Parts: sequence; C-alpha cells; structure tokens
Amino acid sequence: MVNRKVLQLEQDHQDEQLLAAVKEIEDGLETLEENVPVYTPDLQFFENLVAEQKQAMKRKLIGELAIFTVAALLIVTSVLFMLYQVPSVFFILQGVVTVFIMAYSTVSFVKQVNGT
Amino acid sequence: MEEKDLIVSAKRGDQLAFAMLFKNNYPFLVKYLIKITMNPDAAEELAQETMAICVEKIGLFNGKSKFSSWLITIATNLYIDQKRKSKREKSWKAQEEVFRRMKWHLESRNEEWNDALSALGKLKDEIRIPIVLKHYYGYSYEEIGKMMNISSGTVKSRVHNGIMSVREELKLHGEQEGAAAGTRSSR
Repeated sequence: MVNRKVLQLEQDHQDEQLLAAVKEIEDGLETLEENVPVYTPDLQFFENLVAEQKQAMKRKLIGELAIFTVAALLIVTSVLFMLYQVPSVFFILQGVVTVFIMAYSTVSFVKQVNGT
Repeated sequence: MEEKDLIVSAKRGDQLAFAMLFKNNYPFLVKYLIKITMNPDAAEELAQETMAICVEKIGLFNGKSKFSSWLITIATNLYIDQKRKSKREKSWKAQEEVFRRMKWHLESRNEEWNDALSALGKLKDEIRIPIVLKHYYGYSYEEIGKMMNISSGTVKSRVHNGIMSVREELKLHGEQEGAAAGTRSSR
C-alpha cells in the first residue's frame, strides 16, 4: 500500500516535470513566433513565382513528351523492321514478352494476396 | 475573396488567386519553418520551394483540410526529403552556429533565449517536427501521422520520447547552473 502511494507520488512528480518541459517548449516557440520578423514580399513577387513555376512545368512537359515520342517511334520502327526483315525474331520476341507479362502479373498478384 | 474561392480560381489556373493565397499564408509558413529549422534564411528558401511545389500539385488539394495545413504538410516532407537526399544532417558545430545566431537575434530584441529551444534543436528532425506540430500548432496525433506518412502510434511515442529528452536536458542544464552558482557562493 505504502509502495503504491510512493509509486503514485513518483508518477505525479514525473508528470509535473513533463508538463513543465512542455510549457518551456511552448514558451520558447512563442518567443520565436513573436520575435523573429518575417518580411512578406509584395503580390507581384508571388505572381512572378507562379508564372515562373508554370513556365518550368510547361518546359518539363514538352521535354517529357518529346522523349516519350522519340522512344515510341524507336520501338515501333524496330518492331516493324523485325516483322518485315526477320519475322522469326519478331515472333520469338512476341512470345517472350507475353510469357514475361504473364509471369510478372502472377508474381505481383501472389504477393498482393499474401500481403493482405 | 475568401480562401475557398481563391483555391477554386487557383485550380482553374488564375495566377492572381495563387499569388493572393501565397501572400496570405507566407508569414505562417515561414514562421513554421523557422521553428523546425531554427534558421530564418533556410526557412524562407524552403517556403518558396514549397510554393513552387504547390503550383504543381494544386489539383491534388481536396479542400478537406485547411490550405495552411496542406502547405505545412508539403513543407515538412520537402524539408525531410532534402535533409535525407543531401545527407546534410548538420554537425553539432554547425547547428550550434545556427543557434548562436538565433540567440543573438533574440537577445538583440531584449528577449531571453529559452533553454528548451536549445534542447529542442538537439533532437532529430523526425522527433522535433511532431513536437512542434502537436504542442505549438495543436494538431492531433492522427493528423501529424497523415502529414508525415507515419502511424499515429509512432507520432505519439516520438513526441513522448522527445519531451523526455528535453526534460532531461533541462534538468541537466538546471543542475549545471546550480553547481556553478554553488561554486560562486562558496568563493
């Protein structure tokens, strides 16, 4: 009984210390909030920032589209070349790709089922 | 114009609406970043990068939370990512330099430097950030978990352990000061 009371007192003391630490943290952060001045730029600055970011996004999109188009054209050209010049390789490739896709899908599905 | 209307216009591509949203939320965002980085210059830089990401991802903002909370989420993850990528976990010496500047700044405004801030600054980012979000901004453990992509249980234990560390640090500091005072008085 006495032990329990001592434990309770210790616990209360620890809680008090934690609350005091939280209070110190809050006070410190409040000091930062109130005393570090923040200069807010004018509206024009933010408009420029948005415009620049939109331009950058546009450039990125155009670049990605260009890479995608070139890659797609290369793949289609090489597949068509194989079909007309070396049909046997074309059909072997078709088989390999089909088997690969089926195996990949099965493994992913099994992993998903085991994961849930 | 209200914030909701500004968000709708911004989603439609209105640059002025975007600019107004950013201007309104800029001080809040920078002050949050100052608290987690303890570095006003880094905070301003991060705030501008956060806004750039915001322009790109505004379509993903569902409006369930406040716009300022969404900004905080982006800023927090950006800060953590940048630290992780560049592995520039600042050495204690560099961190001390940042604190010294901050301390000087506060003292020049006749404000006292709080030891809890030093203790908070010594904590790892993933522990300091949840403490700031919980005990200064009043977000719940679940909300912080969603912001940082971790479970609410993890947030709770990080906050608790972080506060314990701060408490220990403050106790240590108090004892050192007490010892120093004792030495002075015995002289």
